[in-house]
Amino acid sequence: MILKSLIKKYSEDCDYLSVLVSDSEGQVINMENGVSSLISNNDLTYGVRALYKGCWGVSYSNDLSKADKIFKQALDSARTSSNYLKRELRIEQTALKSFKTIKPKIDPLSVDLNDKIKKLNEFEKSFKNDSRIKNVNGVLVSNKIKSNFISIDSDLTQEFTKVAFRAAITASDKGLIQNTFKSYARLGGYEFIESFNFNKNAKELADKVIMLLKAKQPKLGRFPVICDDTMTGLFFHEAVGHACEADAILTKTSIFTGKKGEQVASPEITLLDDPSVDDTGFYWFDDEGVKAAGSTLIKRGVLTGYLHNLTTASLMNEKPTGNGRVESPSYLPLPRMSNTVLKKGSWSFDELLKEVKRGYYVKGFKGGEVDPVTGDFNFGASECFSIIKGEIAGPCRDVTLGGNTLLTLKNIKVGNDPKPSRLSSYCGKNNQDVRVGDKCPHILIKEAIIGGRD
Amino acid sequence: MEEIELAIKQGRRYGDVEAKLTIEDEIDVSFENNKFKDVNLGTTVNLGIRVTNGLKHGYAQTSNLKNWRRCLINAVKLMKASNPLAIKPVLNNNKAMPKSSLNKKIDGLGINELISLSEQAIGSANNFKGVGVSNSIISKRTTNNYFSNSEGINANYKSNVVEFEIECTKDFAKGYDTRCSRELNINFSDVGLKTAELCFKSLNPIKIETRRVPVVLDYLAAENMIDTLAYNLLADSVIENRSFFKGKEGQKVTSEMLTLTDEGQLTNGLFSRPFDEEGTKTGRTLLIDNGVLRGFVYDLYTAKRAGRKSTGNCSSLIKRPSVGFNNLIVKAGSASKEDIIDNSLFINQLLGTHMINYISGDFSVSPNNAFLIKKGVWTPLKNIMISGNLFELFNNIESIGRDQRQDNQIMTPLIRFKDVQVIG
Repeated sequence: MILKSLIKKYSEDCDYLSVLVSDSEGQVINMENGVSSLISNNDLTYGVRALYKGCWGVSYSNDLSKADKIFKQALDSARTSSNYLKRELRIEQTALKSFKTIKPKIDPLSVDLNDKIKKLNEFEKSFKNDSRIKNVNGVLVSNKIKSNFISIDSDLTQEFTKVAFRAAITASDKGLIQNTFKSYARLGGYEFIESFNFNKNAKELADKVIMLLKAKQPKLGRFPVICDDTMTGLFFHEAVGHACEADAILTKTSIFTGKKGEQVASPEITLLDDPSVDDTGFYWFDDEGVKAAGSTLIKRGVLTGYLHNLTTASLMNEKPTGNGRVESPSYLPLPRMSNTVLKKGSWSFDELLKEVKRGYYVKGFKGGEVDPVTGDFNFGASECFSIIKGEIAGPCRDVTLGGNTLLTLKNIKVGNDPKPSRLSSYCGKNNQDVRVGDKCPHILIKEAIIGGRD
Repeated sequence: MEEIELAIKQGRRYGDVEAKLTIEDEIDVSFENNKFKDVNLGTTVNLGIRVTNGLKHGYAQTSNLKNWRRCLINAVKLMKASNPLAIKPVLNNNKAMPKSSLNKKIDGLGINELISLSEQAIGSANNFKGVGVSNSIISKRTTNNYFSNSEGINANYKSNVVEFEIECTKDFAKGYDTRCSRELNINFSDVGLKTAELCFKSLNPIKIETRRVPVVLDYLAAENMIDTLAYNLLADSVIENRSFFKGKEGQKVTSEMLTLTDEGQLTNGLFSRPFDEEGTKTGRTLLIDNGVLRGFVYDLYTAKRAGRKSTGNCSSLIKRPSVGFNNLIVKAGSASKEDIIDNSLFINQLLGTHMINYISGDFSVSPNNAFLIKKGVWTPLKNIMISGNLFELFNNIESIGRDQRQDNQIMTPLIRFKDVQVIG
């Protein structure tokens, strides 16, 4: 209530004023080789944003009793900023009042801790029979976040509950060490963990890490590569989605600068950013109080849209797209992706395989980085298999996929089997991590660099 | 601070208690397209409480100091449910000498001064052959650290730092640099000029064929590779079977040119601190001495398990064990920059180092701003990868530069490696 009255009190002193409050509670149970570390967190952060003569000033705190001072600080810094920057900003925002929540069937923070520990202990025990497995790390994460956006005519609350399980397994044999990692996540309650088959997933992870111990080094060079849905998701998020963020367009640090309306990709590619898809990037409103509507970024290979926050939309004279997001109210909102969606193509997985005489099939990822200016990318594959004459052959280890985005996009065939990743994915940009998701099919890249140990 | 004293007092009935309070004031000023963009300032509070009883422990954190009691209760609740540790942990009972190291020059910087410093860098970059500054940010951070435990240790220290990042672009070329200082000894005009030069030199890159060449890692790239190697020097990696160096103490593990030390109290070191997160006095730990593995860094728990003393390297109360570096220093060599980079593939930055399998050491990473340098002529390269094995790489050091730089926990000179696989 105090924040609403301060919005009223100071709204006349600037051109636009808003506050974002994040109230979160979480619990992490980390179990490594039977040793547990249990962590609980409880945070309240609010950030005030004032616009004065086209300039933003932001101030934040964890202490609500200092709110009046924080409002004044935001106003002061906006005024100071206006001495250094002359521009006009038009804030295009519809007044909205709403309360949205993902109601979990089972609140993950009220579940008996012993039940969670028991599940993790059992998960670890599944690996006991194989002496090659040297380290088992299971992490169970539960979070509840309530976020409240208030401006003079909007008041929006959204509540999210998220549960995730992450596992990392290390094995060694005859001096060779390999590890594997996987995460599983849902927006929702503990019912996901209740239904999660720890034994089955432990077996899959054990098989995978043992397979990696026997895997060969890949042949280095340029090859056709089939990516599974999660690697496709990573590629389109990192290499393409970021290039569509309007702040990168404005600073000319995107490969897509000045290319709107141009054919930038194979006509098989239609790419969307869609916060309404049921994956971990889901939300109703962005952190600037804009309704999340979704955007088409590439339509049949033609670049059609950019992702905006309020500022970039005004500077580029376009509509806000509901992508202004923050990690916490202590940051300024940046244009960010939500769920990256590659529309279904026409190729079945078998048909894609048949296209490859000598190449690789990469599954899952360890991570990825892209240079936004040149479009060069480097993604680490979690699993990789060689493909010989249209058939999957033996496994390879420590494989990296590299290339250049603009060249790669023109040479992609799109599969007909999209599915949500359901990973606990976070995307980092300017030191801010936000949760994201994707829904993509298999793709075939005609030529990419396969890296690994020579 | 009253809250941590109360938490320690009330928490004693449940077991051993440690509390760490951090209050951080920050001002960030951002620039975009050669111009000032916005200001963001505020304060972040973090109170962490760890409770230990026998073999059990739990940790809770809050940003709301008024919630200290709930935070304590949460830690106790988690402790009761936890699996037992392998050994009973100990608390630090040696008082570290608190040192306040606020730099007065940094302390005096306000928004206007931060803008003026950044403008020096942006101005000199803009004056270089049409290069633009796409993004830049300058931050001033002042941190107050308080630590207490139920052994009667109460300590605190303050520190402040200035961080600066700049990204220059021209056409499809980019240059990036970052500097961080606790004494404000950054030459902003020079950083701007050098970053613009790097961007300009990267224009019109060419492709090369797959081959093996000598590689020189510039500061940022060397920091990334040292960082990956150093995971193997953390005692928790060793105890949990995640270290390639396990059981290799006293053996030659890298080229004899490499000497690595962790220093907690280095004057003006970016991560210097009088005591670590458990209140243990920080010091100097020799890790690799002329290629021979001499030791690891420990927190109290890993030290007790290994029958050693903590080296003052606890990085957090959150997990047990939790080990990290203070200032990890690569000893300088004797080569000048001109000598070390000639006839090499010179790499300014590397993409993908965080994905390296640091235990097996196998890597394939993508250089950013990479050049073939021959007799002083720089040829920019595009879309290449370098690959190999981290441990073999560090056994193949050809020479080490004489000037060190620190931008994060790692202080390193330029490092030149023999015969590295490049995929073109």
